[in-house]
Amino acid sequence: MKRSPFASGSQNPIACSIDREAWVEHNKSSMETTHHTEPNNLLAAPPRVVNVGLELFAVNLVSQGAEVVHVQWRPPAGGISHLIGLLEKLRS
Amino acid sequence: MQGSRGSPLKLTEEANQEALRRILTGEPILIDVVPAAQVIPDLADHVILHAGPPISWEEMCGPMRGAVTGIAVFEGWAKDLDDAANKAIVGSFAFHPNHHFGAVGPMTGLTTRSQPLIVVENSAFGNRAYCTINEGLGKVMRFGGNDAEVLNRLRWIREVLGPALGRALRELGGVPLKPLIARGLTMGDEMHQRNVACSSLFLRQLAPALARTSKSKDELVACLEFIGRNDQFFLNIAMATGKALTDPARDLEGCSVVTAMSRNGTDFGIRVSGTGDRWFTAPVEMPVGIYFPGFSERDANPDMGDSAIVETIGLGAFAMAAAPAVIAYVGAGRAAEAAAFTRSMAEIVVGSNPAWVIPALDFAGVPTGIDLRLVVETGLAPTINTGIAHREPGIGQVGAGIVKAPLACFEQALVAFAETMDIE
Repeated sequence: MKRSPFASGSQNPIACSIDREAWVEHNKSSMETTHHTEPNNLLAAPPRVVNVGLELFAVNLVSQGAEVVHVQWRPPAGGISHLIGLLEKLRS
Repeated sequence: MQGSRGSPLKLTEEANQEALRRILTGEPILIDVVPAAQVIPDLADHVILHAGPPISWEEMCGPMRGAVTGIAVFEGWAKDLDDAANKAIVGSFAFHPNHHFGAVGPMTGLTTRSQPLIVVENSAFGNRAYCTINEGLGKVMRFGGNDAEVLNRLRWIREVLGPALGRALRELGGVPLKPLIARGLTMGDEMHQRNVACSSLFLRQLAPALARTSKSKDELVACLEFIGRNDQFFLNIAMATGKALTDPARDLEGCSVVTAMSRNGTDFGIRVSGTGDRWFTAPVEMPVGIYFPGFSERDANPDMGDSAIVETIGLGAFAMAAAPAVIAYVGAGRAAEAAAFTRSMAEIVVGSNPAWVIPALDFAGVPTGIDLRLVVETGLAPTINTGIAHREPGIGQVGAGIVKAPLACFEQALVAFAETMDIE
């Protein structure tokens, strides 16, 4: 089993610090794959964006002429852990 | 628990399908118009039924208080509005929600013993629901109006229109409402803020019987004129239809379908089938909409009325796609955006109604059976089309708009619903 690149004990990948060695190990296969593929033209072509969550980002990109598909998304039950737990149990 | 009743998911899915079946297979028929005390015996003197969840005089908003003082004078329980207010302060009136007596009422929604009530019978289940007769637009009691013009109109409704409608309906043998509403949906009505088609279709069906049973030509002309110039006449009939269709879906074990949404101008309340007749309330929100000339949002009262019962059965804002004209009236955007409201509400319901379809959505049925779990999970609050009352008593309607049901009601209800399933 791969060692988590995130500091042990943390459940929040944004708030925790990253173990650099573990991160390299965790992503080794994908980094190698990227190394051997042809360079893509992501930066040469006009951007095409799928925006998830905050609509303001999509609105700003559209105002600059970008092609954007906005996905309305918000955390289930407003992110309230007690309600999320109840919903999970009610769906069991 | 799982050993005796199956998993929570299975129990709720089966119960919700049963609730949906009961709502969809109901057969609402407008059978009569009678004095309220005749069908609600608990309506004694000084008893006032109101819209929304329970509320005291002290908690009531301006238009609700205005309507209470007006109806007390109308019923002869007070000599004038000041006398009525003083009597209310000292507790001379007993206040109860319409929903506790099989009734509903728009905006302030007051029901008292001598007012004539529309009687809608659900012939598939044998239950009945009641609503007062729509008074028209502008300065009317449901929006807090209470002057002599308002009270005289109510007297005419009690003494002339109500009995005339009752005679005509009895002579007709009733008016089936399911096909009438189906046709109205294809003609641009959503049955909350637009009832132009259904009011016309109803009058077309009723007029011959009204003529045959009328006591005089003058009475006939007055009744036809009153109904004919009121585009919202059918609203109260649609509301009684909603109550008649949802009542058989109440009290189903494990059922997370919402059976009532209602507001009293102070609080918004919901009831859920699996939690019985308990109300879950939160402060009601302000409508967002368009105001009549001379008024603005500074004049507006928070949302009011039992009329959200029509959204509970898939009409109103849930059927916005059927009524692109109404979206301009309630100030909710462009006509092209009407379908988005219906599609959005389809994400929080158990199913759709094949008897009530929307041509603009390739004849998809209206979204029906609000599932408490889906509302909480998605954070999509039910949208309601609504009228806007002036915040001061005695003025009346000042606009129309849309309002969201507060999510807090649904969050409280989910906790209580889970408790009924032994889940904490």
